[in-house]
Amino acid sequence: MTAVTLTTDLPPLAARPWWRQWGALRHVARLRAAAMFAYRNTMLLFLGVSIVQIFMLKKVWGALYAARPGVLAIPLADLIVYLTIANLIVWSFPTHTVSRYLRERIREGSVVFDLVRPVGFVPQMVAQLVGALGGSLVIIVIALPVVALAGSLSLPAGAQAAGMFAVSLLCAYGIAGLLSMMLSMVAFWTLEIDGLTMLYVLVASFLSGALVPVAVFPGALRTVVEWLPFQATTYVPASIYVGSLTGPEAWRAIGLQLAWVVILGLAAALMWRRAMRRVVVQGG
Amino acid sequence: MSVSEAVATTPAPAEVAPLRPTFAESVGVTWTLIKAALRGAAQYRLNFVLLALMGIAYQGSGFAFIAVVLSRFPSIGGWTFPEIAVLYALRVLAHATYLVPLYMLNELDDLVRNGTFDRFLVRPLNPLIQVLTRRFSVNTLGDVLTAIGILTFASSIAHLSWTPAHILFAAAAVLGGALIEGALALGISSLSFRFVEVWPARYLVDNVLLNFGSYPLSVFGFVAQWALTWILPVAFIAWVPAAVILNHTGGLGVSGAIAWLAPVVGAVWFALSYQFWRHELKNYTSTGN
Repeated sequence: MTAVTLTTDLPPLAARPWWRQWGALRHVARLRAAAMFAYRNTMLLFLGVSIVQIFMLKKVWGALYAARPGVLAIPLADLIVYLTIANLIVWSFPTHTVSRYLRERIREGSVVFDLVRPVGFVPQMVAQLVGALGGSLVIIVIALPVVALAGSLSLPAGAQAAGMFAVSLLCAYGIAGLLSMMLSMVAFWTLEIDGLTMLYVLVASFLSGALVPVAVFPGALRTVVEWLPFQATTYVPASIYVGSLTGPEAWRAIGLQLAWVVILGLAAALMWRRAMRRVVVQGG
Repeated sequence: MSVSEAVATTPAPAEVAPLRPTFAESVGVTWTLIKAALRGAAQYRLNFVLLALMGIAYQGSGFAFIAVVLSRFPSIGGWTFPEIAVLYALRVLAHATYLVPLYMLNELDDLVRNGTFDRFLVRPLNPLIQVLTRRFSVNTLGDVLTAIGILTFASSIAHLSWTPAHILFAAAAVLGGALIEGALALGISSLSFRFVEVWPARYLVDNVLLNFGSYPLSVFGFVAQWALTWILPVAFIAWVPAAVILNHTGGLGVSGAIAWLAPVVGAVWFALSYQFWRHELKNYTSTGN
């Protein structure tokens, strides 16, 4: 095992701030988007599983509403659209793409090549996330007819809802991206985090509202869910899309999302600095 | 490697062992291999606990979903929370019963791809047993714990009438459900001899079982219910047996008499699947030299 010290006398590109490394970063993003298609079978498989889950949720929620209508304020048709959108959002999160890449690089030690590149590591990761998002969007558009058949799709509740959805979705990706980056960084300490990742995916998707709208959670559990960042990754954008979260309440939710981006951004930066102080690279 | 050491400690010395071992010898070797696998797994205590926790979270999260929604709604497809709890308990119990002995089937495609499988063919023990006893996978213990926990909970809230017939039927049903899951896993793994990667098929089937197996299938509409009864026998893993135990056989899509025969379905599927395994095994060609 070799400890890596990052030298300061790097080529001129490194001296530039990240916004002047645009070309390099665009290239990183494009490579990640291309990788999504290289592994399209895996991505399509995960999408297929999401579609199975969307169909299951549509039928189960239909049966629940048939047993007792009026428990929730949201009409069944809107709820099905909500669940469809929410599961698509969860599918496109970078757990199986960028964060898998990162944890494998850390485990193998090849993360050292990412670290010594003249482009900063954090901008590289952001560029990768953007690329992964772009790739996911293309795959989703292709799969949309099947998704609509398994669940249900409709246009956003209105022009304002569409705009707020876009903002909220961007924040959601920020939060989900930061969370999964932090999870991957745990690998700097423990190396083997596949089990932890699986646990995270299960807990996060349950608490995010992708299976159950947050309003359904009973009592104390609901308070816990509202105070955790997971609902801000899925429940908020999907609720805005179908119009069950509107007006000042929706703006407040977006404000809370922004707060999460800041808090998690700081936490990730702190974790990153700690990790760099103790980075150990496997192999010679 | 622990397995090869274990084989070396078997009582029959190599030079006098007949080419075809007797059944008793096979059982003896199998038992030694199982003990070696268990000892191997117990070496990593922390991993042991983490993996078991993961198994609990995996099966527990599905139950948490049901518990949350049924705290607000009275029933799903006419089944109340205690009834669905029994159904869920039967499914997880069948799943655990299948997983503990057969988990290693998941690694068959790896073994075939990297050529490790070759050595199983030259040893005088059924290759399937050698695959299964390679290692003991600890996350299966999480499934066992979850199954016991949910079963205890379910039977405390469901007011079940346990006649001896019901107890016998429940035990047979769990075994039958395990055989169905085992048949599917064995069938898919057998394809490893033909295709390089079979994990996507396994992943998809696992998810279908997890997503649909825990509900009364009548909820999913006629076509899905029919397919999940007669094409992929999900119905017989837990829904049909639970309906028999709960005396709730209306809407099953099969008659009450056939419902009592649910455990047999698993035996039939597993027998067919094992024949398929033997057939595919004959077509095995090694990947390397």
